[in-house]
Amino acid sequence: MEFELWQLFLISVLYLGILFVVASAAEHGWLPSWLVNHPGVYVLSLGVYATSWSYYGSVGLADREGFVFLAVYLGVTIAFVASPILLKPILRLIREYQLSSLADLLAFRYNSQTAGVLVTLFMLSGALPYMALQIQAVTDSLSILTGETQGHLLALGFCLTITLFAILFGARHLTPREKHDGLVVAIAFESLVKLAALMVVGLYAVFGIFDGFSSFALWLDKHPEATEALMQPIHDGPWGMMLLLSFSAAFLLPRQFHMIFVENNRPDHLDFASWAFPLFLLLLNLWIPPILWAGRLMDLSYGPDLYVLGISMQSQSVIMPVFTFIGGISAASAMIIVTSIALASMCQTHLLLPVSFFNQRQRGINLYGFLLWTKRLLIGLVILSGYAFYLFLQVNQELTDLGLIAFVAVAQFLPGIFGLLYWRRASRLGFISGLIAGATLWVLTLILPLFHKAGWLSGTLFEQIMLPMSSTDSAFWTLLANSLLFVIMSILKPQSQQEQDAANACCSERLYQAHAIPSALTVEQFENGLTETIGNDMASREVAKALFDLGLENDNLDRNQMARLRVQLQHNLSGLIGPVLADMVVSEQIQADTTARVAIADTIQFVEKSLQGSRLELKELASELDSLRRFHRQVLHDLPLAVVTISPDLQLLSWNRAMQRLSGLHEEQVLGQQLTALDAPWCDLLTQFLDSEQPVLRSEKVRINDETSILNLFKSDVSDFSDSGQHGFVVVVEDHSEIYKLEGELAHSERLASIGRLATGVAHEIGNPVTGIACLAQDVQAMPDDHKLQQDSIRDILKLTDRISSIVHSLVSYSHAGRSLDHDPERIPIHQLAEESIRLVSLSHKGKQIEYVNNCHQDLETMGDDQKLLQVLVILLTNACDASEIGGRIEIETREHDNELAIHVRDHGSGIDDKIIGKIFDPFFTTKRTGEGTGLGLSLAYNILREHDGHIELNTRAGEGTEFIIRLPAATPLRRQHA
Amino acid sequence: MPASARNNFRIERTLIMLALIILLFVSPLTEFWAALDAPWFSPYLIWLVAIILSWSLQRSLRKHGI
Repeated sequence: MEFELWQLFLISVLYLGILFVVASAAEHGWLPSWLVNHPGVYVLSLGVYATSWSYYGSVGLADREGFVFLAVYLGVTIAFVASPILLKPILRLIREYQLSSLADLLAFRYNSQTAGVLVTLFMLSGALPYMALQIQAVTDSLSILTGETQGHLLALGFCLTITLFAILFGARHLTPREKHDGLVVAIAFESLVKLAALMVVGLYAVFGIFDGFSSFALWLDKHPEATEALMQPIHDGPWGMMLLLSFSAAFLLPRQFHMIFVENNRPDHLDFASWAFPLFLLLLNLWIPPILWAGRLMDLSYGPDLYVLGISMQSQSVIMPVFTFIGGISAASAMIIVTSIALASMCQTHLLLPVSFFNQRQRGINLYGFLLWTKRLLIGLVILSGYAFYLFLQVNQELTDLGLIAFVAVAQFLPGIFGLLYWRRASRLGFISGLIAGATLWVLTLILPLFHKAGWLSGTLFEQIMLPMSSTDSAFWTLLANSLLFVIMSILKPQSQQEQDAANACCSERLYQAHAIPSALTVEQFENGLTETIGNDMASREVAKALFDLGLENDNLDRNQMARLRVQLQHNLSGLIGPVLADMVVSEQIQADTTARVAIADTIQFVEKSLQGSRLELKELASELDSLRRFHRQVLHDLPLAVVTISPDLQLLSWNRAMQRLSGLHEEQVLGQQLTALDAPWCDLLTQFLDSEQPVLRSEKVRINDETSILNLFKSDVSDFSDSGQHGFVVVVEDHSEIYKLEGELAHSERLASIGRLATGVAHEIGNPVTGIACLAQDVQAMPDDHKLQQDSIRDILKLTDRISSIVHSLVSYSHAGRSLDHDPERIPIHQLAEESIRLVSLSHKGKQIEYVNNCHQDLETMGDDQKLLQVLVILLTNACDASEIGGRIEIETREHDNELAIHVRDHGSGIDDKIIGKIFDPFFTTKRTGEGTGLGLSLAYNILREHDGHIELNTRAGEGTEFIIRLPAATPLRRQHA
Repeated sequence: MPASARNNFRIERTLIMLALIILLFVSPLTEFWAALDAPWFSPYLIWLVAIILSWSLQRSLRKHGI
């Protein structure tokens, strides 16, 4: 059955129209996002690998080389199995550094614009025959279906339509961060069409030509030579070399690189593709042998390359040949679209921009517009170049031969990829010289013979120097020359520092990459520096984008943040103008301060993270050191005390587990942050503590999570072991709250105990006035008419009740449980405090027999807890009483000096033996008999005074008496001195 | 699993699978599945085995959070 040309033209236009609709639907969100972002769509988009070569040419290759045709896809399978160590690392680099093409990647790794140019030119040379192959397949299929040889205008029309599609859906965005969903979905759709069409033809071959599976099997049994002819070339054909070529083509062909890496939305889709994509290729190629045998059975007049179309035309259906034709259009158009987009990006970055970038700036042209429109123009130019190649070559070449030329070309990048991922020593010179050697041999062995066959080289020098050979032989010699030179030149010439930095960035074994600290101190300085090169508008937008990417506000960035901003800017610019130009722009316009050191915090975090993630196995001493580092780090982390370490730049370096529990702030929230960025109360507490001269801060009341805690803080300077002389800090935070509460309870118990000891005296002191009240009441009762006696008696009774009230009040007040942690310090008049303490101590039997002299100045005050300070005086007076003889004298007086007041409590008793002076402040130490004291008095007094920022001293001489001196901060400025 | 152990696990498992698959395709083992009297679909079966091995590698890596 034959068709008219206009019918096929209409069908093609209709199909491409559907393609436009599918792509638009994805771009504008008419398709559900779960479908657009499905990993299956990503896998199908990789089906761009199967071009007209696969669709038509596989049958031809199967006819000539048997199952060697499968090697074209098995190599891809091997590459995708190796995805965790081959494709994923490349994807990481592409995403991290915003690279758009293989040329970007290799230019970045080898730190060379020349490398980028060479890769681009070579890639362009290898792709043009491949694109010509697609156009040839389309015109051949038209010829078959119409029965006429087709003019080239139709091919041109096809190319122009494809150009429009590629521009509309492949050049909408400038940077690789923004993906072309429409393009991906459209290419996936085309893969489905190809697969369906081949399946239909294959099933027709089995059921239509062979009359079903059993007849098919029967035919094979009768013709074992059919299977043998397929199997034999596996043993003696170029099986191994084809596997290698297809392995490299799987990810190095421009269209494959673009779809696998540049248009990848999610890294985990690559994991899915590692088995799903080979499965797709298996399903695609399952039908080739039946189609081949069916074609032979039917003895079709055209070559095996076109059996697919020929078989479908033998069906009585109109739809099948049309569907098969559309499958061919899909295969060709997908390849041309994606390849042209990929090549346009490379040409723009490595051929056009290095020449025109700075000129455009000088003319003040909007760079974004310039980049977008040049990309679109280049897409058109690339496709038209492919058309020109097809037009002027006019070679009756086997489809697969043209394809293999491209395969051998991209295989020349394999050594460079090896150096990118695994060999840090691979140098720019090694890569370039290897590539030139491989490319030269490729031209001599494959391109010149191709031109010669087209009749271009007759009688020229080139005819003499060309070395025609098969693609697989050419692959062997080109790769050998390339690899040898790559290795030898890399070893002979050492790398520059920039090359080493680039190599470290690419190899996943890198331990640490320092960020250069920029000289610019503010973001505005960054923008001004960039404006000179990329214009004010672009500079502002790119800086804003970089700030957004890092989650930073343009607000007093510290040096490390500026360093990160510089790096992010460079990455973003790399996506627009390529890595080499981006590096040039940033290095020249935002210069690094070579004397500035990267902050320790940044360094430590990088080193720790890198050591954990590194594949390097540290050996011997390094391994021991690393183990020790981890051990000490764990010790610090697991200490039961809260520990914080702070860098000289006041960044938090560590925040151990105990500190996390105390503060409620997790390590990940705070590490690397500035101290001033911490939440209250830690920001103020730690900042003020570090600023102070004091190494210790005791009993600091801090409000944490709506509760008051008592903290002790200790700090120590830690050298950073550099020549800078700077030091960081270690701060230990002790939560004293529980102990503080226990001390309060202990003090309370001691007060109750001392009240118990006063019980006899209290009973006497209260009993006496009660007896007096009773006597006075009896007198009033006896003389009811004596008005004066009544008045006198009532007055005396009231005095006595006042006395009782006073005693009871003092006892109740003294025995109180103690105030809460939230209680604020009060002003305490020392004279009144001394009076109260004398009153309490006088309640005891011995206390009544001692003379007390209160010489405390009336105006002197201190700040604190009056109940606790009262307890201190009571303890000292009680001890003084116990040491004094009956009738003895105890003096309390105050002195003042420099905002400090001293309370002297002096007795003239027995004094304290020198042997026990050192122990008297120890808890539970007592010289009294059991039941007469707990031994906690002086220990409690010591702690209470410490809480009040005071301390206690002692002067004693055995037999002459003891003087305790309490020193406390004065509450008011002193007016005069007192003796 | 610490990050360095995960790295080593990923590399080792991938290399083992790669070695197996390359052995399947590029070794005297081809004498078996590509024997002249083998069924015509035997290369596809071997290919399917390779795909299953690849799937199991990915499953194993995912199970270990890699």
